[in-house]
Amino acid sequence: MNVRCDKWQDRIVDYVLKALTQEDTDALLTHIRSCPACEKYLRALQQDSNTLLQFGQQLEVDMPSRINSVIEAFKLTEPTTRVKKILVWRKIMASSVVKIAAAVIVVVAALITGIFGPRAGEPQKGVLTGFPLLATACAAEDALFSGTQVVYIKNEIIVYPAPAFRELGFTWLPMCSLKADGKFRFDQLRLSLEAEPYTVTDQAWYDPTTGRFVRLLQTAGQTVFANSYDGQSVYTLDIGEDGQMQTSKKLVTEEFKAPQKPADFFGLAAGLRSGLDKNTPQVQSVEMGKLDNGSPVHIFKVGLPDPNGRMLSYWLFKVRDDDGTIAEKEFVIDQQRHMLIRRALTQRVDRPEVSWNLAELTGSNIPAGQKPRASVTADMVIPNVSIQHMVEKASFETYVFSNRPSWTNSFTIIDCIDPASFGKRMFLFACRADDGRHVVLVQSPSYNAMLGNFVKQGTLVYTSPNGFKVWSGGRDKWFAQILLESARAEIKDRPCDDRTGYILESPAGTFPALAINGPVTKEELHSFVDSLVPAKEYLLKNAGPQK
Amino acid sequence: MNGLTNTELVAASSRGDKQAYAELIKRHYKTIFVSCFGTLGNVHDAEDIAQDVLLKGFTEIAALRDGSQFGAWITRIAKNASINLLREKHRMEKTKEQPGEGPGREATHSIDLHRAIQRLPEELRLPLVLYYFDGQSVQKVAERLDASVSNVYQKLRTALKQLHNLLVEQGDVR
Repeated sequence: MNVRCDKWQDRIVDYVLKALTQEDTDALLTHIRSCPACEKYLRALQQDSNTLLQFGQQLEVDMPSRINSVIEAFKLTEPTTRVKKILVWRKIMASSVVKIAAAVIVVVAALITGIFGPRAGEPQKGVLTGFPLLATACAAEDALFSGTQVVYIKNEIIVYPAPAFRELGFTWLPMCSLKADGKFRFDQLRLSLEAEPYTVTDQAWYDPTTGRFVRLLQTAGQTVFANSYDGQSVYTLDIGEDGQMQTSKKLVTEEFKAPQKPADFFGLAAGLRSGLDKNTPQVQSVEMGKLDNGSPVHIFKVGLPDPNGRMLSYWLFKVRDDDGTIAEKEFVIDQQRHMLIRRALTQRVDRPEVSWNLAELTGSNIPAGQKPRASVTADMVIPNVSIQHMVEKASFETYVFSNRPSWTNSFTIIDCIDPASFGKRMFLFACRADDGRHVVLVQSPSYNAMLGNFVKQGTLVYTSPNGFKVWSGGRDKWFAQILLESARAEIKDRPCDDRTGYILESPAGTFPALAINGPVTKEELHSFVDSLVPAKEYLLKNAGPQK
Repeated sequence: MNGLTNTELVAASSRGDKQAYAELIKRHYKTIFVSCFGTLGNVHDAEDIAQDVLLKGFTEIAALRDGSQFGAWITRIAKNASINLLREKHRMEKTKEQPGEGPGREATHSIDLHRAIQRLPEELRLPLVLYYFDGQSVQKVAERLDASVSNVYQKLRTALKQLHNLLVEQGDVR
């Protein structure tokens, strides 16, 4: 735009604001036809204006949901309660540990659901259709493990420095290994934080005709974990706390079946089946892209936004356009690549480079005094445990429902490592309900440590005769979604739009978190909370270990 | 409740009728939210203030003598609460020298727009937001702001130009 065009600037703005007379409009358009600079300015302003309009329309679309949230909060407010500014979850999410915990719990859930949950193509309540690309990717992954020759797959896990994980002191990935009874063991692959990126190789050999397999994790030539099945026994190699390699051998039990779908637990596709379901809120976008070598891919962004609608952490799954297999998955936190897991090699071979029998594997121990860069902690998640188990493993007072809610079926308890409290366990209660109002109660050392500082800035909605307080924290739907997603393996359905969430404050000073996949009346909520009793007390009254 | 006037709903709310107040929330939420957003330039802060003010409004509604003025009354409270939060944030940013609650570095179009809206001066942001997010009527914006139509036009012109410059400055060049 030149100096002579200055006078047209205001007219262009007025035109965009629909404030020009017809005469002035005609004059402007005549000028525009002969002035590329003014035409460019007009187009840019029109685009700004359209973007503003679209933004306004988006806000309008979300308005009924905002109004409902306020009305829900209002209905639950006790008349005598002074309402304080409700920023509880925003403040809680300021902690990077919580951001990580929120992100990883969903990943763990996706992994568990991917293995135990409904498979793509099977009808699921709340999920309308399959997602063709997902089905293709899963089928392509399954197909890798077919044929008559031994399949060799090499994946690389590249760990980048991650300031966001500094508070934890390490980072980790969920993974699975196979047990002698044919069930999966859910492990935690712990990875040290280093100043420079480093690589852990994840190699697997699988014989499709016999089901034998061997999986080997190594870094800098050091084996840190291995798991295999030689047709008779299952072997597991771990590095003990003393740095010594320990190999266990267990004869398979009668119920053992060789893995039918190795893609479900060998690396890249584990947990994918449910995690990439287009109909779950976890898939935020699907875009076209390219790998570093130029190969075209579809990139799925998977994760949950924080209460402010921002994606602080997410996974990018890159599915190749040519053969539909997964080329890479990348974990991003605070806009930084934190971990990249990529397929380095797929081959058909006559035999594995190491024996199916891990007892024959030779390797070195970790030198005394050194910590391994990578290590595997067993039983990151133990599904379906008893109340007795929970009482024995918990480092805090746990509670159970003495009478489960009338609208639900029996509950199951999942025991898992608390991702934000080193060495401690957390427990997820999940009750499926025929009417879809599934209930999830999470009791966690991290929540106990963190929520006390924030919860009282929320709204007290109920004080129970048994000493429990029920708090509403503001972005309860977001929080309820995290809890419900984390128990997807049990409740199966995806979180619904009218889900509800509360933070409970127990007489022991713990803070269990409660989510219900649907609306509840005051009476239902009250009777629900009134039935909570210490798990130890429940066991005593019900004479011994039981579910 | 649908057929009741604001005056009737306010009277019922003053007697503790929560259903009546829920209806008032339904009727006035959008106006309050847009006003808060126009002042604060941040959707999430606007949601918080709108909710906070509406919940507090129930405990103070008995003090409102003319029920027909509920909309103006609650919007004024929301506007004051938004200005207070804005001041508090400016003070905190000055003392801590921390960036405001920006949308991060993700270079998406809507995030750039959101950030540019936040960076506009409040006296320009409010008319722009009211215009684009509430019906594109200059007359209506003028009434809401108790200003002349020509004054609103002038502010909209300046706001749109500044917004464009901010977007260009942020690297979102079209």
